[in-house]
Amino acid sequence: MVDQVVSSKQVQAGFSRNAIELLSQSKQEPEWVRARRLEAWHLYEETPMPPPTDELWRRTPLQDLNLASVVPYAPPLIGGDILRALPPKLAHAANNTSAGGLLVQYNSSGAYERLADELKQRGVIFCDLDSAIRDHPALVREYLMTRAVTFTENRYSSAKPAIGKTGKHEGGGYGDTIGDLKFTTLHGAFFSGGTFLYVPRGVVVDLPLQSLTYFDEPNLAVFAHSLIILEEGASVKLIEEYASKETEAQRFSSGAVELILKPGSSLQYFHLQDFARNVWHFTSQTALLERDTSLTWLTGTLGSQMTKAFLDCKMIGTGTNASLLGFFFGDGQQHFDQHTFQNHIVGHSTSDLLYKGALKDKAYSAFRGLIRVNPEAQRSDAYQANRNVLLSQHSHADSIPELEIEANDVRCTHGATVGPIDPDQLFYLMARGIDQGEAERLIVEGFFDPLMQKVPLEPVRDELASAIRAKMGSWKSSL
Amino acid sequence: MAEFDKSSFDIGASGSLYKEKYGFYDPEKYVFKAKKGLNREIVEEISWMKNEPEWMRKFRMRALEIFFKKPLPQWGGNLNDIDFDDIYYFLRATDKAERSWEEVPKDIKNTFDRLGIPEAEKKFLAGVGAQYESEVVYHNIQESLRKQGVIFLSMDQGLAEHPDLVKKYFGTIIPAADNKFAALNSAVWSGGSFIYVPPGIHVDMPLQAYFRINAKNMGQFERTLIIADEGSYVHYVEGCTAPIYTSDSLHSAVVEIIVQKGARVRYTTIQNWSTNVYNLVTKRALAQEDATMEWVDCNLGSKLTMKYPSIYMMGKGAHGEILSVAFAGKGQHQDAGGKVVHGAPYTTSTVSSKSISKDGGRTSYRGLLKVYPGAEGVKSNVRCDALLLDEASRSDTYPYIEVDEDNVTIGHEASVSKIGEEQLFYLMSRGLTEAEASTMIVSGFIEPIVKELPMEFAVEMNRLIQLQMEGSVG
Repeated sequence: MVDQVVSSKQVQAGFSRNAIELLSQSKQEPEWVRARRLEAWHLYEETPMPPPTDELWRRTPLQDLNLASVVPYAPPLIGGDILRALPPKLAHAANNTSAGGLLVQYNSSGAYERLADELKQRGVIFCDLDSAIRDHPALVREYLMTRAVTFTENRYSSAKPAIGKTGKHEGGGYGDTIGDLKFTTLHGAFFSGGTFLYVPRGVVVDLPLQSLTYFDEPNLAVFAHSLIILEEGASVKLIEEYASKETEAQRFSSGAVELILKPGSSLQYFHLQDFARNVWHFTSQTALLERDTSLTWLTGTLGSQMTKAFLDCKMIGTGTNASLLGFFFGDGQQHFDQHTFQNHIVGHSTSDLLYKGALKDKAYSAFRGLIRVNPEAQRSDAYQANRNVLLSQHSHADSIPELEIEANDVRCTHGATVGPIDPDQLFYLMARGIDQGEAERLIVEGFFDPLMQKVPLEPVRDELASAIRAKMGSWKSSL
Repeated sequence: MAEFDKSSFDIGASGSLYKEKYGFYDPEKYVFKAKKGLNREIVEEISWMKNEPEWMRKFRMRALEIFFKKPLPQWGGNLNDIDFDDIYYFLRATDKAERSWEEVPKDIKNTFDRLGIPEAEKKFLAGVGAQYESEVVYHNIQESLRKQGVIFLSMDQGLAEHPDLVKKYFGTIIPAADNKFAALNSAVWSGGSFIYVPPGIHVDMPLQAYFRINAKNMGQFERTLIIADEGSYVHYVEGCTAPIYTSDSLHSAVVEIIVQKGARVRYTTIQNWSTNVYNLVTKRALAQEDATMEWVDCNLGSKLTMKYPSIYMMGKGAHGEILSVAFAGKGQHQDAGGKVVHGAPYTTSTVSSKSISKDGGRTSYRGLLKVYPGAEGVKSNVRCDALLLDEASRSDTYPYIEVDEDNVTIGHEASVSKIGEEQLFYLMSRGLTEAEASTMIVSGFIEPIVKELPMEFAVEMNRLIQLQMEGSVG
């Protein structure tokens, strides 16, 4: 096959089977990848767009989503230094030596990779997904959208039989729903670029790894896919950041994250999204936790026009410990709709979730967290808390913490609160001579701080802190 | 006994029967035969037999169209097994009395005995007896209410005697188009209570549908309308702790309550339908300025209950309270909860739910807490606790919280657990058996809500819990 250069002029807007063929061809992918893309496309075409009556979609109407106008992928960057082209807020990544490795995805493809030699020697693989398909096909073929984020199973639909021992349809609270299927199938057809991380058995990586996804191509749809595999006893920290350039046209992002934790492994995963305000971002993320694993999973949502996130923490082994953390801060007309799923499939496991959000202007947030404990999952311990601070009269927060408990020897609790800034705290600070605006800023920063402190790289923490300060900056107090 | 007046119409020309029937009835000779299934003719017939005003007939017909159009809800419990063509939508009292005591299932009879229910009452509850000897009590109560100006009638009588009042409020809180089952009820409703309490009147004793036993109050599609005028107070009690036996598989009621400025209404339900019944009820109250509405909702029976009593606080300073207890045993699904909607500033509400699942039963709390823009200073707290008594049971919590206003204080908490081993150990070390100890813990778990019930109900409720707990090992 001759090298075929597909220039952006040749990539037509809209999604089609033909576009998949062209994409697969330009990447010179093996046949199995092409076949999987086409299978996903087939399911995509069979799956209807979620209607506004769909229980999981009624808070996020899709009529303004224009898929016909976006371009499914952009050709890779040839030459040039991507590290210099990064926006100022991500520039710290270029010369940050405290990270053990760095990946940069630019538009639809990987554009930079660096990994400490010592880690390479110990068998750690850290590259974009296209390279992984080429260099490590067996690994990718085994795990890519086969176990964690799959597009053949609708885990949210109650039409499918529940795993319960009764064997009959018991259903969740959602009725017939498309779940995340429409966008995972589209992702399965068009994934491009992304992050591949493999940590071999027993390897403990001390320095955090960092991966950036940045796009500036107008009208582009990005399909970043993260596939993280930790073999037995491995341990690693990974920070992923998503950003894009501000443009006029509506843009589209459909991401997937797969976290695969083999027995005894330990992962800290940070997923920080600060896309520009014209991006519609859909993401499906699944963690598979085998026996005795430990996961810290932090999601930060600051950017995008609209974010629709499905996070599924599947505890398939005993003795697992998952900590799901999240912060979000919406301003302007931002719309966040997040689903979390603490999925206790077998027992003797612990999950603890804390999502904190602040909303100002006309921002909207829906948080829907489900704790499900299967009949087989005795001795599960699950906790969930969602705290919302409303900073303006026109902001809106929905909080739907849900429990579906089918085992009796469990401890499951959840709590949700919605309210303004605590007037007592405000009074305390103002009584010490701090003006109101500054006091409110301090309180909001303090509200997010415990979560920020979990992020291992200082430059990233600083970047997040300044993003939050910037959001607070334009805020006129309503009090 | 307005019912009997109307029965004259379907006897048509037979004048001799007319006299015989006036005031007495004889099921053997009764000519109207109820038909199964639902269509325009049945609804026309219901309206015609009740001799209703034209607007009510139209209301029913329009509701029927809505019922046919609306899809069956696919969330919550499984409703797909309901056969709408296998249901009598209208039964005269006479049709109901055709069951004999022998047909009543044994476990229901046993429960009556265990609860110590008097013989006559037992028969009534089982749908056997058509008369219940409380007429004297009933008349005395009616007399004292009349002196206060309180109207307490069956919905059919209310419509006949106070058509203007009914027309003004009927279907305003729960329009026919609200949901599929509200539409069904609007089309075929029969029975239920109509209550009006004049301004400033405090009704001292709880009003119970029980007292109007002759007025056919326990229909499948009863319709209740309560209007508490300014500054008044009334407590209405519906149902009873004894299991209500019926061969009908669908119960779909609508309850509308208007709580005017400064008034307070408490509505207590103890639902214990036999476990073949789908119990799909729409209950909603409108609370005006400084009004208080309280729902005390206990669900013990039925195969599937889907019921979410709601309070719309539309006047400044209104207060709403929902106390809910659900107990699901073998084969039961209690999908209950409540909705508090804050549409005005400085309104407050609390929701407290306690659910218990046992022997493979499933309880679901489903609730909504909504704050509309401009409703500043709202305070609301929702608390749900669930107890799972064995590994086959299931408990769900689906609380929806939607807040459109920043200056509010909203909290929600829920927990699911089993009976604490330490509690069990403590009690057993003091000589109780495991079953006794478990029962005591369960009683203690729901005590905060049971204590809100009228005394005799609370006593019966505790006895019932003991009964339900029998044979269970924590």
